[in-house]
Amino acid sequence: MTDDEYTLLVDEHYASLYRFALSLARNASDACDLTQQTFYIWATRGSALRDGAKAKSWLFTTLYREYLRTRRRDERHSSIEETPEDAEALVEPGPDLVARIDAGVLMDALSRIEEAFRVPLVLFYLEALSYREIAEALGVPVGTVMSRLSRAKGLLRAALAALKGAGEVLPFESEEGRKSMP
Amino acid sequence: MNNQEAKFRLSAYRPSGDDASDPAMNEALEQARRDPALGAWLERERGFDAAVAAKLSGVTPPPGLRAAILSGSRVSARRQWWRSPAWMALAACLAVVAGGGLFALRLRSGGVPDGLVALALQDMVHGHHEGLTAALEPFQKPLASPSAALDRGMPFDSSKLGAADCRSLSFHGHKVFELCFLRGGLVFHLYVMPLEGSRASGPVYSTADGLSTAAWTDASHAYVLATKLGISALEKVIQGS
Repeated sequence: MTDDEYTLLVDEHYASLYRFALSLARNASDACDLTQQTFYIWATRGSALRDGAKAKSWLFTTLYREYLRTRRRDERHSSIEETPEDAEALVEPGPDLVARIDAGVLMDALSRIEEAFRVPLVLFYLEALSYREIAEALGVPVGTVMSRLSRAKGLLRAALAALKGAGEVLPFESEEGRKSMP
Repeated sequence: MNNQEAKFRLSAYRPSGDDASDPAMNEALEQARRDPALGAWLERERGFDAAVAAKLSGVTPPPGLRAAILSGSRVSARRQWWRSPAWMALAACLAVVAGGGLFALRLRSGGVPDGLVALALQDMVHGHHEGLTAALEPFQKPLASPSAALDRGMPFDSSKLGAADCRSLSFHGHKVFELCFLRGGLVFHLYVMPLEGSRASGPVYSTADGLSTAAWTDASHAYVLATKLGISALEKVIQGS
């Protein structure tokens, strides 16, 4: 891979990878580390990948595995997985609400969803991977991805409605909290 | 396929429409065209999905992340050949020889403990390196400076490596810290072993089967700098450029 090709690869994917990492790690500093580490692993191993078309899927898969490898055991897992089914049906935040909220509030809502649902949902909304590629990245059947996406969207609506109801408008992380890079 | 199954499939239909050519999606989309209720549901769903996707794309990476990535791994991407199975096999043989003492003897250098260079070479091949991390930035950043000449002293306090949770290896019961860093876009690995009562020696350069090392000591530490880029690259780091 030439320098130019590598730069193109980074330009094409680093922002989406960072967003995915942020949804996993829930803080900018760790998300930066995960993103950098993913490209570092690519530099040492991934660039041997013969099928360049699979680079994107490889990067997302690697980032997710790296996250699983490095996350702390005592990490707090806030979850609204136990939200009653009918509670999801009662709340219907539409596109207008989503358009009005801060991106940080969306990240906050996403962070309240259990990881098993949050991961495919974020990959879906990043639009970088198809549902088949998401299944491959997570090592689960295609049907499981569809099922989790269906459920996760309900959970996201519930989380957004809960935040709206509670008047929570605090951003996911302040700009000041973001890691300053060299 | 009933509407429930169609909704199940369409939940995975990206708002960008990139999945339109997928046969499973095509079938569900066709059903949504025929069934007004399902069509209306899909329209609402896609509106919500598009809004969330747009909002998510508004999350911007911190300034400097791109530059950090590009400077962090550009060159190693060109040099992945040494990770080939043939090289790994060769390196495994090298490690066996090192275990027998012959390799340590060949690379013996001044006050540097026998076997330390072999340990570094083995770790270069088999170790799981942490790469560039925020926690180690106070050490990695000064090492990356072209003006830092390592033979005139380390540009950081080596005694703080342990407190920074730097990756370490065990060597005859002693800790050896390992740091990856970049200089001019090239990857180097520095191994630092606290060594009380040491005397200044070296550096001694060696090359074995494609890996080059420089080993030296100061009054309190032994160092091995390793790379796959040759002795001339090591010299530039040791002497500054």
